[in-house]
Amino acid sequence: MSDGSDRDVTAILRELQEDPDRAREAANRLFSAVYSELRTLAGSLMQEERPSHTLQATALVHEAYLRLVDVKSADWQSRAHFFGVAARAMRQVLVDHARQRAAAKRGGGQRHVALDSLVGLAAFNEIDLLALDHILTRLHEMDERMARVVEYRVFAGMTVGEVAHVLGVSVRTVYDDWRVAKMWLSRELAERS
Amino acid sequence: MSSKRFARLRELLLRAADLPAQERHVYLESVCKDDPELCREAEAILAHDQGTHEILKSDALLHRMLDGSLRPDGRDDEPRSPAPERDRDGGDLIGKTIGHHNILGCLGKGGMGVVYTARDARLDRIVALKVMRPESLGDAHKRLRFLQEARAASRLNHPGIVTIYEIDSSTGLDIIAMEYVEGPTLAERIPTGGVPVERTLRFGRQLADALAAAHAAGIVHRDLKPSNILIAPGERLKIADFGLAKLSDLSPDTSSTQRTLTDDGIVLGTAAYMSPEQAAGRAVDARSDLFSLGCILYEMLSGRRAFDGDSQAAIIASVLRDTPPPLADAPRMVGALVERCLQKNPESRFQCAADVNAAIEKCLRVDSPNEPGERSSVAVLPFANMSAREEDDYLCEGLAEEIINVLTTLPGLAVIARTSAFAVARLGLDAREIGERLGVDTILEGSVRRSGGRVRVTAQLVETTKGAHLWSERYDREMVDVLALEDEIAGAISTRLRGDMAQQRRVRIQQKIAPAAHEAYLEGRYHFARGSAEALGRARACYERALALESDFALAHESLAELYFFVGFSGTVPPRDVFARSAWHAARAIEIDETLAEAHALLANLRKEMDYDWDEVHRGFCRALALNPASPVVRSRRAISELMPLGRMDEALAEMEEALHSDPLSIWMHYWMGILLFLNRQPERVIDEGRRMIELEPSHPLAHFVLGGGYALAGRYAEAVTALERANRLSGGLAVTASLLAWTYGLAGQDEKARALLPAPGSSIYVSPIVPAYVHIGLREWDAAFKWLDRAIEVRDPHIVPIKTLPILDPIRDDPRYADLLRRMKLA
Repeated sequence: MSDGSDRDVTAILRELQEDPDRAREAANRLFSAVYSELRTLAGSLMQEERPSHTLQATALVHEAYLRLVDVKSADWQSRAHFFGVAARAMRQVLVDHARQRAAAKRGGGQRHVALDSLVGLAAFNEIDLLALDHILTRLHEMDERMARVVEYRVFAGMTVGEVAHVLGVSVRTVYDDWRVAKMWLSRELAERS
Repeated sequence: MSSKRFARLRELLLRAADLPAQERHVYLESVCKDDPELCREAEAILAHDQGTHEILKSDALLHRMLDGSLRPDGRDDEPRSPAPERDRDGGDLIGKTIGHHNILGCLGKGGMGVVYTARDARLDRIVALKVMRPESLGDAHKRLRFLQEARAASRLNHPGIVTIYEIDSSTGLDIIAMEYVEGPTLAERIPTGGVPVERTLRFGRQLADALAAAHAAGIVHRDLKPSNILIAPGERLKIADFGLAKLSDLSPDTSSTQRTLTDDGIVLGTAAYMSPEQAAGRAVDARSDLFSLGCILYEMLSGRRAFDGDSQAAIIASVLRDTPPPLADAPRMVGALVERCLQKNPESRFQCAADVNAAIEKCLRVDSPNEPGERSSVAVLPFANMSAREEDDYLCEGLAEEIINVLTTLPGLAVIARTSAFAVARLGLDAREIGERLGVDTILEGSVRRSGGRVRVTAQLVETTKGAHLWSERYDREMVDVLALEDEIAGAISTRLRGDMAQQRRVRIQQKIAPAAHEAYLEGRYHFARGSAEALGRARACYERALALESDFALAHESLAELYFFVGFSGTVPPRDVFARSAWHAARAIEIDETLAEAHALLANLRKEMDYDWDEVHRGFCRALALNPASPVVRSRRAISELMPLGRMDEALAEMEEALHSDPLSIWMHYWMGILLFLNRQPERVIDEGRRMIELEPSHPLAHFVLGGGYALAGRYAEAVTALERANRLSGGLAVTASLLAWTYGLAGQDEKARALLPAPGSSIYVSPIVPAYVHIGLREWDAAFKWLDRAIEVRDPHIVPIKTLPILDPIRDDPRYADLLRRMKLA
């Protein structure tokens, strides 16, 4: 939906590719546009559209893409860029949600959690999710690229080819990163639980 | 760990992971002499090479990988193999390999691609492999949506639906691997003379059941037709190509970004089974599939298509315009059922597949009243407590209740609900008498003895006409295995009664629950069944204890939700507050175990009480019915929460009859039946219902309440006052009895007594606004009445929900303020 400069994601995507000087700032704008769209989508999805469905992160990202980007003018590269930013935004949405829920549980505070926010997200165990978030932050310090690969794969369902394009590395590198990351993360997660 | 060291670890892991497991240690030791700690670290990580953590392969996160580069088992470490050469007409892939599928033969060609039989080399099983024609998927975005839809369909798991195993594009071809079904399609099995009525109905029941499951998951077939329905051995129908009609559906003008995935366009498929709304290019929903089902049933019964023509255009015109000739040879009920499916206006059809199913069931019962062995019935009695400890009573009842719950999810088995089965057990009757009382042909009884951490259970199945033992078994288990034991006993009974181990509709989530929490839960159920205010308090404490031990105990959340819901009806606290609590626990229960039918029904109930969101109520019940259509709890809740408020009284009464059939001795079921008959203005039947309740429980307040309501409706005010005064005394002045008594006083001209029931001004005790509202209506004081009715909506008093049909409101129906009330409840 091209309804104003802030949310004209198609234009932002074009800027991202064409104007390296403004890429960083464009990426920030893209992030906030995608973040708010994902939140809205998650909310409405849970409220009415698919009541008994669990919320699927990657499905949401795809839906956000279809809603935000003028698909006729978008190309494969801009799609990859979009998903790269969306992965980060999705992670943020999920982690915010998990924190909110964990806090509500601790406080026993039924009041603080709207009914609708509880119906979805059944597939995520918030403890695992928060743990994953935490571990990814650590991984980011040791190996930024590998952390990105995980983020893109897990939270936006990007293919290895897309990840390779966004990161500007070879497909082989992404495979290797993903392979190591899965082992390493599995162990870290296992140790925490 | 520093970046540098981590980079080294990465290299070590990659190299070592390629080695056989036994060589890894030697390799790591040899290259990490300088850093034994890193060596240990690497080995610890390598131990996780195979078992990837759940969250990294969880369905929700990973299955939906768009381009299918990630296969369902999460293994995609290797770069893709090059795509096999694509052949021209799709026929000569035979003998070739696509990914891990070896193509064996060709099953058929369709609009979207070619279907082959193939061997899945990885899992060594035969699959049907649909290889999509690239151009059939259109541009990248249509393809994206199509694959997304196909993935949604792949989550359907129902015996009546062809299972989609895998959707993969990693080889460069879009393929869909599906369950291979050996058998003809329905299209090949409809003779020109038609199919016998009973067989048609049996097929129809299977189709409706499968549709209900898919619709509940949010998936509409859109292209249901005989050639999409496979007949597997044993006359089991399987619907193929769910949601795949999406493909042809995406006509070129629908690429607007604002259109969501559920948008619809024109389908170019077989027009003869297409609903009018689909033919007209309008939005379609689940009811469109029900139209198609109607077309199929019509064709099966008559041997000819409901809509036909020489060209696609002629058929579409017929779908839009014609009413097919009536089915002269079919029984009237069956004809009416098909006719209702074929209504042009979706609003006039059945509203969900579960309703079609229920209607077919009814036809089947009328059509063949005695199907020998087809529908066995069983009552599970509480197990006898053979331990010295009284506390083990909880276990005895709990075990029986859980077996009842598992059995109700099995198709073709009529199971008596807990309340009735337990009530009859208290009467000390013999098998034959129980059989007559409950109308069942078998009973399950047994005993439980617990010592320490072990439990010994005996169970026997007794035939009720002659008292013959059909089956018996002894079990000796650890306490912690009680849940598995329940499934095992239910499975044995199903095997004995139906001759096969029925496929459970619902796979119970086997939660690992600490025995202490499980026990607290069972104790809570025991108290809750007793129903008094004191017992409810105890039940609540037990559930809270269970949840303190196991915060994710789904059944405890469900039970607590049920308890709060119950409290909301008492009128002793503002309902809105307790309903909110109830909703919270119901939502938590569903969050943990999405398959809890009764929790879905309860949450739908609460949608009604709290939001007056009738669409949401409908959706919730569709899901609940799809999960467990036989549950009397689901059916009775649907009657009073979905159908009754909307004024759909005939359907509500039919649902309630069904529920009473499974739970004939429950005072609550009779109460709701009484209420529905009262709203439907059938005083004689209300009075009958009240008398039956008094027979069941002579001093239950609601029994006298229903009787009094019947008298009031019949204009027999003196008798009404007597019965309602008694009810109000027995209930301790609860809102439900006090309000009806107040109204009746007014009708009987006893104004002073009516006024005495008004709450004392300034009192801090909560009184349901329905009481003063009824007082003022009885006294014909309209302004005051409206003030309190308004307040009733504000606090979400459940007694205002039947507003559309409540006879008490008859004198105010012409007042514009009544219309306002309706609007506020979204019922206008």
